[in-house]
Amino acid sequence: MATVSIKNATKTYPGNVQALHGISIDIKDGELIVIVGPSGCGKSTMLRMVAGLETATSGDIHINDEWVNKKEPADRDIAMVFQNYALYPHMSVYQNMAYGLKNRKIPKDQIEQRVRETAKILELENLLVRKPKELSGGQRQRVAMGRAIVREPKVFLFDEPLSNLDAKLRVHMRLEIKRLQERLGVTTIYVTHDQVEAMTLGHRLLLMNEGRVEQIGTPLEVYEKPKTLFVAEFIGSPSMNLIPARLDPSGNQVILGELLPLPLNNFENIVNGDSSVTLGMRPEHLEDCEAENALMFLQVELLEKLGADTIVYGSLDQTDTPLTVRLSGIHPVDTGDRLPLTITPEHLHIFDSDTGNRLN
Amino acid sequence: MVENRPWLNALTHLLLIFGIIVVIFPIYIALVTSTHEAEDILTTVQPWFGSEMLENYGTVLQKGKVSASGIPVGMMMWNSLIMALGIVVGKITISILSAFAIVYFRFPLRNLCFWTIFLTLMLPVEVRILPTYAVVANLGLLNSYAGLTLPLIASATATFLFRQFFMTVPEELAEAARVDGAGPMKFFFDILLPLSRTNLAALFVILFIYGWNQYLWPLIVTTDESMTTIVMGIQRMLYVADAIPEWNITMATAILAMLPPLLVVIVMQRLFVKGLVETEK
Repeated sequence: MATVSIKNATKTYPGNVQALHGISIDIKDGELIVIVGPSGCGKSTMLRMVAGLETATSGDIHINDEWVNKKEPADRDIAMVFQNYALYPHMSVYQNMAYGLKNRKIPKDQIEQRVRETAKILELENLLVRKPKELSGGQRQRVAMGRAIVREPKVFLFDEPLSNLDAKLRVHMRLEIKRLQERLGVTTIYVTHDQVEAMTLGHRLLLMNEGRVEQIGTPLEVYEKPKTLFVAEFIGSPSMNLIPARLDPSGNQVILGELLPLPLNNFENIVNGDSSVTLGMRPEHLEDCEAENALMFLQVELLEKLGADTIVYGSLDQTDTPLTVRLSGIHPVDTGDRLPLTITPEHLHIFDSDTGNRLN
Repeated sequence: MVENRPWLNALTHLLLIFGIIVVIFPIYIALVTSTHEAEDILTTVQPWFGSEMLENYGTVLQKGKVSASGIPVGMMMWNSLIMALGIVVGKITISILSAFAIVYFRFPLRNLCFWTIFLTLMLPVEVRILPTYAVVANLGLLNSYAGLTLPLIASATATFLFRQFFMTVPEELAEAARVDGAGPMKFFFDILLPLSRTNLAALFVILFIYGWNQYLWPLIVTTDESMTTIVMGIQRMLYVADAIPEWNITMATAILAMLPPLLVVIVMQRLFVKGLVETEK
C-alpha cells in the first residue's frame, strides 16, 4: 500500500520542448487517480515519469515518502499496463505473468502459487499455456493486468489500457478494472483520453492540457464546477454549450447576445469594466417547458434520436448562436420547430473570456 | 488467384517442369558421371548411372584426386565446414550484438557508428583483399582457421538486418521488461533473442552458403594443403597437366560439395521461409 506524491514535476525534451510545466498532486493510499486530457497533453509522460521510464527534468516524485527520481522502474515497486499490452510474444500466458517474479528471484513454488491465484481472479486459468497471439483482445488485456497484479506492487499504472478494445468490451473491462482496484485496494494511476472512462473509474480526476494541470477533483466536482473553460468543454458529452455573453452590472443577470437575459444566483465575482464573459450551459441541463415560462427559444435544425435521449441541435432564436440540447427520452420535436427552453440558475457556468477561469 | 482454367494450369505446369529440368540437368549429369569409371566418360557423356558409385566416392573422401596433389575430400569438407560455421557464428554473434547496441542504447555518436558499419557494405572482400591479406599475414594467421574466418566475419548486412528487425519490436516490450526487472542483457537473452529466432535461421542459411562457397579468400590466405577448402579443391581438380582428367572423381567432389548447403536448407527450410516472409510480433 502506498501514497504517491508528485511535486512540481517538469519535463523538457531535447530541443527545449516543454512537455510538463510543474505538475503537483498528492495521491492517497488506495486511491484511483485518473489523468485525463487530449492527446499530446503530457499525461503519458507524467505516468512514465512515475514509472521511471522517463526522468523528470525537475521536481520530486515520492512513493511512500521515498524519493524515487533516480530509481530504476524495477526498484520502484510499480507495475504498468501498457496500451498495446506489451506481452512477450514468445512466452505463454503463464511465463508472461511469471517473468517479473522470476527476475526477483522468488522461489518457484511461490511463483506458481501466485500466478495461479491471479489467473483465478482474472479467469485466465484455462489460458495459461497459450501464447498471446492465440488470445482475443480482451484476454490479452486481462493477461496484461494479470502481469501487473501478480507482482503485488505498491502502485498500478495504466496507460490507456482500454483504447485497443471494441466499445462493448471496453465497458465490460472498465467495470472489471474498477472492481479489481476496489478489491485489491492498490493505489492506481490511470491515464486515458476518454472522459467517460475518467468519470466512471476515478476517485479523483487530474485534468491536463498542454502540460499543465487544469483541475484536480472528484468526477462530480469536475462536472458540476469546472474550474476552466477547457475542463468545461472536455468533460461531458455532448460537450457544454459555450456562448459569449455579457454580465449585467448588477450581477443578477447574464445577457446572451443583445437582449436575452438569464437570471443568476449568488453571483459575487463582479467584473469591473469589461463585463463580457463566456456562459456555459450543459446540454442536459436545458429543459423544455411551456412557451410562457421559456427563457429562450431554439430553432431546431437537426435531431439525433438515441432512444434514451434526444439530442437537439439548433440555434438560439435571437442570437444565431448554435446550441445543443439533450432531452431525456423520446420527444415529439421536429426540425424547424421552435423549442421553448429553460434552465435553473445553478446550472449556469460563467467563465472569464480571456483567462478561461471560472467566475461563479 | 483462384481461377480454374485447365489450359492455363497445364501451361504453367509445363513451364515449371521445363524450368526444373533446366536446373536439374547439370546436376544429374554430374551425379551420373560420378558413378562411372574414368575411361567410360573420357569422351562421352553417360546417360545413366554406372556401377562405380561407392568406389568413386570412397576414393574421393579418403584419397582425393591423386593427380591433383591427392588431398582427401573429407578433409576439405571438414575445412569448409569449420570455415562456414566460423563465419556464420561469428557474423551472427557480432552483428546481433552491434545491432542491439545501436538500437537500444543511447550513446554519443550512435548514428555515426551505424553509418560507419553501413558504409563497409560498399567494400566487399574482393576490394579490400590486399590490405586484409597484409593484416592477416602480419598477425601470422595465414594457413589457419582464424585467418580463413576472421576477415569475413565483420558484416554490415547482418547488422543492418538485425537493426531493422529490432526497430520493429515495439518499444513497450523493452519498457515492460524494465518494469519487470530485467536488465539489458537479460532483456536481450530472454526476449530479443527468442523473438529473432526466425531471422537467425534465415541468416544462418544465407551465411552458411556464403561461407561454404568462399573461393577467392581461402585461395589467397592458405598455401598449406591441409587447409584446402572444397571449393578450392574442385578448382584444382579441373586443370591437371599430363594426366587423365578423372571426371568421375571431380564430379563426385562437386556433388559432395553441394550436400552440406543442401542439408542446411532442407533442415532450416520452415524457419528460413518464415524469417524472410513474416514478422512475428
